[in-house]
Amino acid sequence: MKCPEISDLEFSERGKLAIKEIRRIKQVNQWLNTAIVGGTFANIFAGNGLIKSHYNLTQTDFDSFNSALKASPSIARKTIETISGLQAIKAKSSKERQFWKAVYRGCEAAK
Amino acid sequence: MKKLITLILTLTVFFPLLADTPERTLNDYLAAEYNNAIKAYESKLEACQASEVVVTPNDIKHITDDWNILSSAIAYHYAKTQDLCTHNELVKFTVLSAKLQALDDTHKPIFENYNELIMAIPLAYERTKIDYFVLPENLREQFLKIEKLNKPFNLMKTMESFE
Repeated sequence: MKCPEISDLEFSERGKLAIKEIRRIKQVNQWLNTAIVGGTFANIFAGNGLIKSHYNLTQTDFDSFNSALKASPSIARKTIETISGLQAIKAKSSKERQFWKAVYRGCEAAK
Repeated sequence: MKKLITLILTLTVFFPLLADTPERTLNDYLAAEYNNAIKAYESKLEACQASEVVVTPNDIKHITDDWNILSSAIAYHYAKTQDLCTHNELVKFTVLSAKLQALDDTHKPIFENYNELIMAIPLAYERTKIDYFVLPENLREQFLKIEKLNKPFNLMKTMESFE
């Protein structure tokens, strides 16, 4: 799957809860903090602060997140997949769905 | 006197070591079983998610056209079938985790971290109930009768069939 570019991504309340759930899992949080230094994904999943109202995500953001995901413990990957898959189906906008699908399936930036 | 001192020394030095060995063996055994339980759960989850069954609009659109309702029903039934499919492996993991936590204080944070990580999956299932159980009972009964929703199905392909 080719990584999408998503501008002005706004998370629904349910989407924000799913992000908080991923942030809450210590093992995932610690690993993401080490694997992704800086960037939008680090801000979304590994941050402790407020979830911003809008995000702009580039193919590179998705690519580095998915590379980090591939190197993660497989059970951590399964946990993220499960949460993002269920979130994709309940997404409130097409951009939000595109985001959760790319997290669920993994993607690669166009070469 | 010398014999008495030797006896006391023997009892104080070796007895705790002897007592510790079976406990350590038990701990190692349970830790190995715990690791195996994680792997078994993961493999089963992967097998359950690998289903190629796709729920299509033809299967459920006669119940309603409302995507809000359909998505709640799909999410709930997907999570439920995954939960049932991995039930035995999850129970084994949970019991081993509880045994290890009761036995060993030193590794508690590690077990807690793994518990949090793995339990996030069944918890995601519990969360799907929030949207599903507010649906009217007659709708839920109709969804329950759809055979494809009661066995593991492919979530992404199902979602895409509605796009």
